[in-house]
Amino acid sequence: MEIKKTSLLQRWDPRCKLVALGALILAFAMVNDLRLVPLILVVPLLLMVVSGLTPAFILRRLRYPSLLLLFLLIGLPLAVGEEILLTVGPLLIRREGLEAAVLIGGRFLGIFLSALILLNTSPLTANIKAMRALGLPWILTDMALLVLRYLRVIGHDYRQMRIAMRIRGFKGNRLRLRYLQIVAWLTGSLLVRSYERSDWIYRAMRLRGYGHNDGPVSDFKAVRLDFMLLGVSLFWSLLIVSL
Amino acid sequence: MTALLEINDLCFAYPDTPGGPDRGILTGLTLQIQAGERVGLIGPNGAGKTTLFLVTCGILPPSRGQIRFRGRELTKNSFIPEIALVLQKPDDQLFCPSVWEDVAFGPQNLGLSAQDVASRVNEALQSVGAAALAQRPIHHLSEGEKRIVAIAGALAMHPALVIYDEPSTGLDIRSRRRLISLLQQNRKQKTSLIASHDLELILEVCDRVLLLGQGRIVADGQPAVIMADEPLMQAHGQEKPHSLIPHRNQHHSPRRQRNK
Amino acid sequence: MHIADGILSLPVVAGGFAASFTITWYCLKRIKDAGDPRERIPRAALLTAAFFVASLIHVPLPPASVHLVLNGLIGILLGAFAFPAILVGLFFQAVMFGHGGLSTLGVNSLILGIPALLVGWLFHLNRRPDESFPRTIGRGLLAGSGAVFGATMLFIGALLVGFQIEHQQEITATAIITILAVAYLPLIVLEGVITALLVGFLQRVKPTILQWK
Repeated sequence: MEIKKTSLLQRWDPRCKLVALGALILAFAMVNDLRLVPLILVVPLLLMVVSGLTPAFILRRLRYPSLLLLFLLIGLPLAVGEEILLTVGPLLIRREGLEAAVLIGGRFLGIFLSALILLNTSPLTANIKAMRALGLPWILTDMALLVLRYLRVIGHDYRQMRIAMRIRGFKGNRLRLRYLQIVAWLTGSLLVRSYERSDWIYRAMRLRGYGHNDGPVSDFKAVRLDFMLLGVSLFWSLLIVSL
Repeated sequence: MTALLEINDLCFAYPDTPGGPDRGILTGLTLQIQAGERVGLIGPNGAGKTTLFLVTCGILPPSRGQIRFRGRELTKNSFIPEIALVLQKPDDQLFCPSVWEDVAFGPQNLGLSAQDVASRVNEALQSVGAAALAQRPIHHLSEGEKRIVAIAGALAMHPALVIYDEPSTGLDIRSRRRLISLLQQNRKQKTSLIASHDLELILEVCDRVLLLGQGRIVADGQPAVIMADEPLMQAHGQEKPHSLIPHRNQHHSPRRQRNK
Repeated sequence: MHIADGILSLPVVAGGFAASFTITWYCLKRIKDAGDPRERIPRAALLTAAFFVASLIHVPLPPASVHLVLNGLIGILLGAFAFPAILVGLFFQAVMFGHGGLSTLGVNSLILGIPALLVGWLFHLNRRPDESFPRTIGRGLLAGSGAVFGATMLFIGALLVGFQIEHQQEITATAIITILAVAYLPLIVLEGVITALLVGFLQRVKPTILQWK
């Protein structure tokens, strides 16, 4: 729904995409010079253009920022530094703090948006399988795929239980021991049910041959275009690092 | 006399439905239920039975239309202890460690004293014949026992209207029979609305049946009349119940023959 | 208790990844040493998913409301699987909701995972399956509080080490520590109580879940 038919990024081999993303993230995290921030921000902008993702989708994901990040972005210009740039009423905006805030904000936007765009242009399962193909231990990837599959199921269980509680008049808005006990019982039921469900899942997997061989070899196929895109990303990362 | 439950032109669409509220799950549903009635609700999977119940209980806000309970209009997020809903899967309702605690959960939320809570729990468990289960961990109950306990949890709220969502799924013959006699009990105080694919159960328990199709009520009347209307039933993905088909061999027991 | 992208300096980001890879490798080795892991993977995965859902529950803690962390209970229930489970859970939180971040995945998994592993080990230390109910609850209380306390300390530590400003003033550092410590103190108490109640529930309803690792 979010994506137009097939954008360049959607066709990009997930393995190459992940390697490129890793390189970009490390390069961005390394930036400590204010003048490099535009070089960072140009990457998500470019990605956004070729991704086919709608700006509305991306903005929606930026809606819940980290509290700590907000605290730093607002607090730093007010609290840190000696040189005063601007006086707004009783508040003093300081140069060093502002620079640090811009740097943090720039790195955040660069990493967050690039990851958001690159990971959302392939299905999450494809990304996990690509990680497996890149050498992530199979225990981790098997777990991740199962978590992904059952997250919705357990989330549905949870919402149904909340509905049943509301119908019987439960309003959880005050901190009392009884409330905590109810939350604990609710969480505990969720855990016990998941635990029991897992036995059946394992049996069903076993019946269909889980564990008898190492599973299918990955069916990813990288062509020249995939490597070219990877090359461009690596070049850009190196450029940022070397400047 | 005002109806116990009165629903007028009710529309509901989940937020991501394309085409707006008119393409929703419920499209202009109107119905009235009088006190003391036992009403069955039938319709294919996805017809909107569960959605209708959630809207009636104030869990989901309607996109259009009103619901009145005893003449009082329900507003968004209102909690009406007089309407109880027994969910399709008892596991969704039962989350406490023991039966007693789970049945007590609702009365405790009403702010009753410990003594009143205890008497309501005992009374509810007795009325469903599950007094012996009181101290059992929920976890060790059979599917039929879980269903009965979930019903006790609803009855302990002292509701005027009890809504049952698919009460007989997953029950063995004996548990189902026990459920049917439970549903037939205390018709005086309790009005009930029962959604089920188990048409024989509706036929035995209910004195009125509603057929839900395309988001509205397409038929309303006596179960034996509506369910015997083969073209109507088939048009909405239903089958005429076996017991309403004329039999060449009289293989039903004489008792049930006399009831018909 | 998630650190977002962009805040930490590169050595901390890289060090976080290196350390979390090492710990993951060690945990996976322990898991494989204990026999065929395939039987335990669905269990660990389903519990991880359940914890993920539980972490979305709001608990009112005036003046705000908080999400449950439950890393203590993750350690208790998952044993050596706790660290991989937290890694997977944080990855999904970062990808699906933008909580935390991908560059800080290593650091964040250390913050929650190390206390989880330690607390899980301590909870089961010298514990007999037929241990009395109050003792189990007591262990749960200590485990829940201890795990969040440890996570808070690591969180503050990561910020102090990884967050460098040119003219760092003593005052800012102290201010950050004080604010965070005060903010997290109620959470430490709350998590202890919730974990104790949860352990009590599990002991009553499904004791085997507490012995599985």
